[in-house]
Amino acid sequence: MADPAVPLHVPLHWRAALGPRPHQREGRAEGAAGVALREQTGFALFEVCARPGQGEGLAARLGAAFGLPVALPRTGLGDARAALLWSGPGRWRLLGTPGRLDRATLAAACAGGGWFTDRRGGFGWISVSGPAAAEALGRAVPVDLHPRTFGFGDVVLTTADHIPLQIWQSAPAPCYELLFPRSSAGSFWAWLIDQMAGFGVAVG
Amino acid sequence: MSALRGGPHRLAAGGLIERESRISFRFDRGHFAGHPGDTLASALLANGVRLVGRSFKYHRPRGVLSAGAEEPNALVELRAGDRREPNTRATVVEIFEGLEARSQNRFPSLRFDLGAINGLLGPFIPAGFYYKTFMWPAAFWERLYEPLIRRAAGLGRAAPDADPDAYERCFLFCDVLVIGAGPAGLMAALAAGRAGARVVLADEDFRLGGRLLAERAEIGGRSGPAWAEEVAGELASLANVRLLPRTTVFGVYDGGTYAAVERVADHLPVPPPFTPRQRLWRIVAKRTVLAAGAIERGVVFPGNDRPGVMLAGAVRAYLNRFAVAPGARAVVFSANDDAARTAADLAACGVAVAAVVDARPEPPPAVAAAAAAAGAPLLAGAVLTRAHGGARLTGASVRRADGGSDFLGCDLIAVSGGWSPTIHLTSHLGARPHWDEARLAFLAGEPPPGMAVVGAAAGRMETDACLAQGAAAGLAAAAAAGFAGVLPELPDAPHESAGRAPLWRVKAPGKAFVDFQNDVTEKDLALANREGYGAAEHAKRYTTLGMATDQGKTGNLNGRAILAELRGEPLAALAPTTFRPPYTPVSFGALAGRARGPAYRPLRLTPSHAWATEWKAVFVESGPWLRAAYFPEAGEHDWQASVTREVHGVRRAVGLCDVSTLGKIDVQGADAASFLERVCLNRCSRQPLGRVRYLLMLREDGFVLDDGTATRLGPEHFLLTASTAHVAHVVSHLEWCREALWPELDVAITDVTEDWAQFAVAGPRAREVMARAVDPGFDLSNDAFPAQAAAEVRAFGGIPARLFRISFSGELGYEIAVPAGFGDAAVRALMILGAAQGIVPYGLEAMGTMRIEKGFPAGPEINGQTTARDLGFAKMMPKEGAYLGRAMAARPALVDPERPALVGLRPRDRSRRLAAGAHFLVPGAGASLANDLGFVSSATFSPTLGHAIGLGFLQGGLAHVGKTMRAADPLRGSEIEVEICPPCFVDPAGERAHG
Amino acid sequence: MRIDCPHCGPRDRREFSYRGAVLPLPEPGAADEAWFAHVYLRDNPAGPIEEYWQHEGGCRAWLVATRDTISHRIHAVRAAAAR
Repeated sequence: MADPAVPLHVPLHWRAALGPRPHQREGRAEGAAGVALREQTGFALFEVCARPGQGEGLAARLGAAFGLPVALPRTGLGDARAALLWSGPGRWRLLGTPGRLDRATLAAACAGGGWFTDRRGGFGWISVSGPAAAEALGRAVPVDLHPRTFGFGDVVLTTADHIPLQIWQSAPAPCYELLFPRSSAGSFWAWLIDQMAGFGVAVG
Repeated sequence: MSALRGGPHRLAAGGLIERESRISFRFDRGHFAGHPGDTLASALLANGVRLVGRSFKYHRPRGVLSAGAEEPNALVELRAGDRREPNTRATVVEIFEGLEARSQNRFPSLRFDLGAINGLLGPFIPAGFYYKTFMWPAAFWERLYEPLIRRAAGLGRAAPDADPDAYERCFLFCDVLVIGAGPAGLMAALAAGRAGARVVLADEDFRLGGRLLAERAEIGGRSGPAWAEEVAGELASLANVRLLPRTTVFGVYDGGTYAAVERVADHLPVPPPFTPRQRLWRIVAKRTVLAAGAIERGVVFPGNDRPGVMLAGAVRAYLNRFAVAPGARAVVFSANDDAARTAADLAACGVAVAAVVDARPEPPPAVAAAAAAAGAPLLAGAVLTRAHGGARLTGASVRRADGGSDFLGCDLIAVSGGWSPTIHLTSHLGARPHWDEARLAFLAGEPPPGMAVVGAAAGRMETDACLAQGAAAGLAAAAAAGFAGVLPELPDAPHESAGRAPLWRVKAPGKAFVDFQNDVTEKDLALANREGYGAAEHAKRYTTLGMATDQGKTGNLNGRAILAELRGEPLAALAPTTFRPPYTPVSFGALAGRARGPAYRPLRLTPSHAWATEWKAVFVESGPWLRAAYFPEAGEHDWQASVTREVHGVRRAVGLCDVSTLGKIDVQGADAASFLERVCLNRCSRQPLGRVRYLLMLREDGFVLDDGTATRLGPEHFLLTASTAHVAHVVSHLEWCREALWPELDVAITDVTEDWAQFAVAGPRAREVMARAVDPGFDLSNDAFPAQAAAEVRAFGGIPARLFRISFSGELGYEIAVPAGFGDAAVRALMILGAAQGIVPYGLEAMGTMRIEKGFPAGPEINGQTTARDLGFAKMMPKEGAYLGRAMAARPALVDPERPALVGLRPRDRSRRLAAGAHFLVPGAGASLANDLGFVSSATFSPTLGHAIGLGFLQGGLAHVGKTMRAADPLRGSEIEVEICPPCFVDPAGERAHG
Repeated sequence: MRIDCPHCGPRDRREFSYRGAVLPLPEPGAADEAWFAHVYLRDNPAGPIEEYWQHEGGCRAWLVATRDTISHRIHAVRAAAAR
């Protein structure tokens, strides 16, 4: 049985996908930063998969259970503490603060309609904002993020230089959330900084 | 003195250069000065530099021919050191302060080039000579011919070191892409931009305006350049318009995709911080307007490659745009109305015109008037038969209409054979251009979907027509993309006379060049035709016409016309050979972007990576992952010592290894078990909860796809593992089965490899360590949690975890999985918790050694060519039930008992080492395929046994246990006698893992 | 080349991975020849062909695309799961 005599720091520390990172400027140093990057950490994330033919019903029940707008294909809406993101045909990711998203409510909403798994360990999450965010991110990814085709509530699944990436716009002004695999965090961050360095990046 | 004035041949007024600023630069040994707005070519001409290079084969002296990207002669080496660039066209280089340029292909100097001797060897080195020479004696090829040819071949020198600059690759989406910012392109962008469409306007020049910058045409009452600047200003003010000067759209691809390279910092000494040198744009456009203009061609006549023979349009560009007089006394030679314009411009700039030679017997009055105004005789129906001079033009011979000849002293010949529409992009998707006799030009065939061709690119050379066509096309493109607009007002513009007659070549004695860069002469084309290579595609490759870096932009049509004449075929029948991207050369840097060195592909790091780095682990790339191979301690000088220590540590006490990279696949659903039974050999529906089973999956052809484990966490919940190398493929395969084969099944598949940090804790003392890690209340005794048990538990003080009794090492082993964010803390915690037991971190090497000691198959055995039977898992194949691969696995060849099956081996001489890849031979048999009995798949040194061991596939398999075979490795030159044994060397009964 | 994913819209070809021609699995109990043909034999039509592609770099859906082997044009794309 566990030996209380051995000192062990509990509870164990949760490491963000990017690990410890100084808050500083990256890239062009003169003038105001065109882009601000901030890592979100400590979030809960569940991935839900609908049973055949149950997709719409399940989406509605998830929205109702957590007070979130129903996620149509390629949409994702929420508030600062929770979001329901379309993540493929018959798939959604429920993302937010742990207090807001509890397993029991989720299990009840899914019962009979779908299956879920806890995926909070698998991802990193970076918020991108700033006056040049739309231009900088728009150039960097192979999907059209222009306000005419992508806006508040839209979600895309794409890749950034071979790394799977999910992007959604979380506010009416261009402010983007990026979800990427944890193991590629280092490479993803290097790619992001390289792409945005010319605009001046404030890491917060 | 010339350095102070920006050049002795600089005109006192005019031009689009900034005269107040001076830029100093070097060319070969000379120091010169120019102005902002100059190209290297214009600045050199302003300084009287006529000789800029030596031709590829004959080393003939060459000068500047054109004023654009089509330049074949003025190829210089730019910059120095690791930024050195060969074969840069001086006509497109924007000079900057301190620019260094050198001529190429000459030794020891441009003026005194030893290579010129090739000119005398001309008769021996015509086109295709290398197909008929350098063959005898055969031995001479490697020792003499090839090294000589290698030294002589090529045109420039690449940089010696890695490029220090950064390059970027970016994406761009738009409604209308306008290619070319001349009059047509500017109007198209204006119409579409005002209508509200997202417009991208790209032009390869650093200043927008196209041909307007080179001519004296007035648009809307002001100069062409002033009008262009005004339009550019309005376009820049529109938020929905993006201007991309210095950007060449070089390729058209399927689906409305275009590739362009933007020369962001080529015109600066070094790129500013955080600015790429060049940027590759991948553009997706709903509609495109191709307003790429036209390229002028010369005439093939003897001596037409002499420095001083220039394209007439280029002469006008140097006069009007750069305020440079390319000569003091000029002859104008053409068969079209450009002769009038050229004579007028020369005279207006104070250049003497010796004569206007128009090949047409009756040129229009405008030409005669222009000649007269320039004070020059008009020689109608006449042709130039020779350009005289060496490094400098001294004069031209003329054959008059009456047959007599004259000599005209001159230092400049302005030639115009006509204009070829720049339609290259239209045929990148395979459409063939068609010949238009009236315009004497090849025009676009069916353009790529969504592309409209306008202006000179469509064969309309008149400025007013270009403006009108551009505006209409821009408006139509915007409308097609959903933006209704209004046609912009068309400014007043000239309708230039466009009379023309065909003038491809002049028949006269002497070397007449068709392709300047590859030194292809008229005689070469005749030779190719005589030898049976006269068809266009053959002639191109036989003579290398059009195969240089300029892709024959100024010479291809002349070559084609000459071939047509030789073969007696109409020109229309000889369509141009296929145009392929890129339109002009693109640097590898731009194509690579940031994908160089460590950034070439993303690296995946395990949750324990930071900790392993602190422990000085040596890492190895395992697919996209970086994994710890071994953890050397101070004093260990080779990896074998570290691995031996790690293996001992595991087998004698307890070891810790990060196994997070093994694929984990979450499978849930009412039909999860029956789905899995259709795709693998396991009978999952009968698997009890909380149990781990070894998993085998077959491909449709009956061979093994992958192995792994299947854990039943619930009645409708399974967790699969798959080998690190195959998990991506296995997941896609399962998803395909689910969606394509059985979409009616209720099963959800999720790749959760990323989500969990998983650690193996293995060794006789493993249970003691796990007892401290797992929270109190969970019974870890062997009865309660036996081998191959699995459970969801709490560990490390309340963290949800999954515990498995899996052993890849063959020792008493556990694997504990925690959500990946806890991985770093968990590995450190396990090291603390196991300190009393002497826990040892071990890596991939030790893990591999131990699994070979146990005979567990891994990647080398599951290589896509082995079956379940070969691996010794025949019993796993169910007799009943349909699963993928079942039918093909039962093929006679795959159930043949003589198929090579898995065995173990060890060297008879225990001190020898084994190498994987060696082949089994019966002792005494010759080393041949006929005697080949199989091969060694894995080999290692076993610290536990103290000698080398291996696994392999041997015909007849375990029937040969005890026998001696030879393991022959001719590649490494070794042959060893080996003893065949069962493929398990340590604890064959498996008691340790079950303890 | 761009492929119009029914879930995500038109995307660059690099987001997709290719599996091969669409062929129905032989019936259970089918003769060996049927399986051999299914695994190893393919027609090579000059014209439209139905193929499996996975939108691996996007929504991960398996798709059936009708592609013309001459013009390289993709005529239609549907989800593999939608029969």
